[in-house]
Amino acid sequence: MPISELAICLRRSDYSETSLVVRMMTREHGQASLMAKGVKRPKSRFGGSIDLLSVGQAVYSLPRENSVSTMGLLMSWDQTEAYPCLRTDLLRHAVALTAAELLARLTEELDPHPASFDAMIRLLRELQGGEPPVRRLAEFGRALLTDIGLTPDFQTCAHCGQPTGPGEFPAARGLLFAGPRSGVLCPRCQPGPGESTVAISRNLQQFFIENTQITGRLALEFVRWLVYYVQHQIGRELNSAATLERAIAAALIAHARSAQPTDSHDNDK
Amino acid sequence: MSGYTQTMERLIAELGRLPGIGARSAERIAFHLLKAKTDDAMRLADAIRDLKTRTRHCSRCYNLTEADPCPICSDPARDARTICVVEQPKDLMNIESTGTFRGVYHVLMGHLAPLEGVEPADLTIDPLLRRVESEGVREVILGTNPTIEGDGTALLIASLLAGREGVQVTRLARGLPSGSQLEYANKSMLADAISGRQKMG
Ligand SMILES: [Zn+2]
Ligand SMILES: [Zn+2]
Repeated sequence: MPISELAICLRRSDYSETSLVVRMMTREHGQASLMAKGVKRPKSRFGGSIDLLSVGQAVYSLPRENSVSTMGLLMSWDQTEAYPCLRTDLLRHAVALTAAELLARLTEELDPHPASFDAMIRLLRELQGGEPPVRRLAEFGRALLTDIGLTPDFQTCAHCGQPTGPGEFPAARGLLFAGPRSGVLCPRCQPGPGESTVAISRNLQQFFIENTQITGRLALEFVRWLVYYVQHQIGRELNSAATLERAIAAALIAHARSAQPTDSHDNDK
Repeated sequence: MSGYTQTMERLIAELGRLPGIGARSAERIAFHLLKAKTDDAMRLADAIRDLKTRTRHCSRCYNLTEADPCPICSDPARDARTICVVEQPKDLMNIESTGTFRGVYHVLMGHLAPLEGVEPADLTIDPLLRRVESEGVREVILGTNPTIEGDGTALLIASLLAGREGVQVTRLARGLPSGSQLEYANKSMLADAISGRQKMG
């Protein structure tokens, strides 16, 4: 039976002159690799082509359970939303790609995560709506970690088990987050020899614990922490990380260039 | 094994690696060549050899060429201060075939694909920036594909060129194909057409 549901294209690769293999994140069935036959023909029933990060109604079938093929078949595709900002704004573009890679790497084939899917759609709409991209990426990241069950424990030292919550130590002192242990170290504990850590602020900790709204500066810290954390979780680099950093740097330069000398300096990107 | 001679096996295997040619077609072509006149088959072999030994990338624009710089780069009638940036030589040929562009080109040799690990250093972006710097370029037309990745590539180049005095950066227009009908346009085309609308009169 064909399935019809909302999906977002996370990956596309050429299969032949006219066909594509697309990796769709579907709302109810998770990621699925689907063959889109004839999609590149100008008059195909897919309406031209299926671009990365496009959102639409997909009608598809999955491979039968005992089939050798792991690829399903995309029967039709009706793009339901367009996000032109991803094509005109480098930072929005990079943020959306990063979110797509996080979604692709933290969920598995046919492993449904409707809440994460919804968070991705929300992010794309917010980007198109002109909201601050890095903040929205941070909120997407928090929602994704929560939905997938990967939120680290920020309230207990990963080494000695002592509480590290807000109020346990002077607020000015940040904490070290150890990627290999997926947790924080209290100020009394030292990382092991050569152990990778990043410093995190108390505000970042609070952002998770109290589910607070995020500010511009904290969003940047959070997003960098997120990339670090996820890279440790998946044991490899995120391909989009360099693009994101480049886009952030370009946005900061553009911001500095356009800012009047008397302007306020809230880098709210 | 199929029982073909080793040479035949080798040819079939090589042909089968070509795009769009399956095992069956590879076999058919191999038999065709076996039966063909020696001269005819050798012409194909020579054409392949010449392609690989004589064709290279222009050291300025990275177009495919036998002479370096390529005929476009060395044509004094062309406006060397206007560079159209494209992803691949095929795109250059397409624009060239319209006969409407009198500037020069720069072939990127692909597009950025962050999720696939294709980074700026994998393309000819640095040589492009050097050309803009050294050749008195006035306009850079970004002619990458209107896909997310092509657009991302254009955005990055635009950001690298931002703030250079006297260099205008433009993007190929997009939206509705001429001769098409609105009712058949998809959402992306319409969104592009709306945001790229032009003043009339
Ligand atoms: Zn401790
Ligand atoms: Zn040339």
